[in-house]
Amino acid sequence: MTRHLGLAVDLDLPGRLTARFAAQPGEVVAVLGPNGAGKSTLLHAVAGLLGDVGTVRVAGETWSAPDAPARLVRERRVGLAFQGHQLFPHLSALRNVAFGPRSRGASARESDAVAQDWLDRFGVGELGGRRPHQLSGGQAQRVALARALAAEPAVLLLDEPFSGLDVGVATELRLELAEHLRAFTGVTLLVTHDALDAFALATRVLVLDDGTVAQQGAPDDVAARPLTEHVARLVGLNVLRDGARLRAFRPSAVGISLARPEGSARLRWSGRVSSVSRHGDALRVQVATDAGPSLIADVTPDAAVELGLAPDREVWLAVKATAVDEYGAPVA
Amino acid sequence: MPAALAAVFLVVPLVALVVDTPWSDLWTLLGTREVRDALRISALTSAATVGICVLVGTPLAWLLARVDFPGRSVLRALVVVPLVLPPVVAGVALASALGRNGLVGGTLRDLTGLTIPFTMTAVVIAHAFVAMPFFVLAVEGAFRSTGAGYDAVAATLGAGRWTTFRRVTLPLALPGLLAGCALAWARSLGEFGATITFAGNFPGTTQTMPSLIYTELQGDVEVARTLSLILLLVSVLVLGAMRERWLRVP
Repeated sequence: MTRHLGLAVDLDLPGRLTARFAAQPGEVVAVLGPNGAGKSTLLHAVAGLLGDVGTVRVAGETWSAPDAPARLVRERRVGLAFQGHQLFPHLSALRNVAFGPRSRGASARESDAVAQDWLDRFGVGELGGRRPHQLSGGQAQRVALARALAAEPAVLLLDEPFSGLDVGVATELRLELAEHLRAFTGVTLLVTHDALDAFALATRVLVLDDGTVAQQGAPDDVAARPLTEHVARLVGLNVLRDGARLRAFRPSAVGISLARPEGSARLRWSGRVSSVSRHGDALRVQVATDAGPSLIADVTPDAAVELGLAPDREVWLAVKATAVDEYGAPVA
Repeated sequence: MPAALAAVFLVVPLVALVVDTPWSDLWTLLGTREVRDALRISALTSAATVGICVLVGTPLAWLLARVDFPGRSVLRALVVVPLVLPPVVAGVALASALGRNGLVGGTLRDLTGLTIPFTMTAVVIAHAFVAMPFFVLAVEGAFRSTGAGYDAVAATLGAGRWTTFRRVTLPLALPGLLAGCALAWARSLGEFGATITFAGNFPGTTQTMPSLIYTELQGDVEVARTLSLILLLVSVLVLGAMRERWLRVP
């Protein structure tokens, strides 16, 4: 691939991250994975904060290539919004947003006008005169997103933009951001720990694990057939790995009994309850099976009382063959 | 008990100075030519010292805080040396370098006919030499604590190094920069050893307040006390202005 109008990366940071993927203009790529999987490294590499990292091509421009010096951070068109907003504490909200246009040569008046426009779009237009410490968490994160977008980036890099916010505020902001991202013509990389972010905002999901790409695809496919335990937990699925084959089934399809159930040994497990927690109208029971993996099952409160489900209780789990989705992992 | 001992030890000499000084002489002394000259020279040289520290010390502090280059730790160690160097040794070292026949001073004299020692320039050089480390360390600390994160954000927004420094790094480090200025100023005001060794003690050109106090101490102890009190008052005034920063209990 010599020319790519979206984003094409082929990163090689030995010991930290090896990743190759591409995204079309307008795509929102959710980057999932456990801590230390390389998510933030990926964003920093694209932003140019790590120097030579392999290949990064954006909108037909080469930002980094193995045989050429890396393009400077300030000459890449990236918009950054990381957790903890990182607004300049000594500048007003308006001047924070105006910083990008101003740095790229616009006059003070033009920059302020652009900044005011972006603040208006995020519904915080009347807060332009405030310093970051005078803003609430949600307001500050809106200003940070406005600042990132006001610089007219080709790639938008969001690192857990909703973490640390109240659930209500995060939900509201997620809906707003979805709207702004639909209007955004560049590529968005969104690092998140939240399944809702990934599946509400993203057009594609990239799963990182231990410094490599473990899975990528459409959000629905990844949610239905996760290849990593991290994503399985995130979407609340039981996933069992058997060599290159995987079996996934929903917690609601799992039956719990005290006596050994009938059926195939492949579809039943003995174990001990490790935790019971509320999950919607049901109770979610986590069981550490004697065979090794930890499985989850949803039961009604009545059933839980009847079975006397409490931590350390010995139980049997079983699932019907028809409820199990069996699929193969692509050969690595 | 040891804590009380330390507090008493620190306070008693100052109290003694205040109590023992003939306050009535204060105004008469302030009117004499010698004292006015010494005050003027101290004020001028300490201000110049702070100016030099800001102009060349700030870039050095930035370099040490932000740029990763080979030999950075060696450079930092070298910068700190004057901090632990006895001031008299600093004066001798400056004379070796910038004296009439010194390493640099000899060449300078041959080329331009200028000599540095025993001039007010020499006073400022001596002060800058001993005050710079305090300033650089304070400002480097400020640059470090404000974090490279904001610099990175500025870069992603398209700001070059200079714009980033001017609009982000410097404003954020301003409190530390002011603290560095105060430290450098106080160090310069009190500097004696390096000054008298390198610049001498000539009334009207190189005699600073500490040098004058030293001279008076050989003759009239009362006058020396009164002059010391003046310096103490000036220091307390500055400390008062800085109390927001240093006297606030966290």
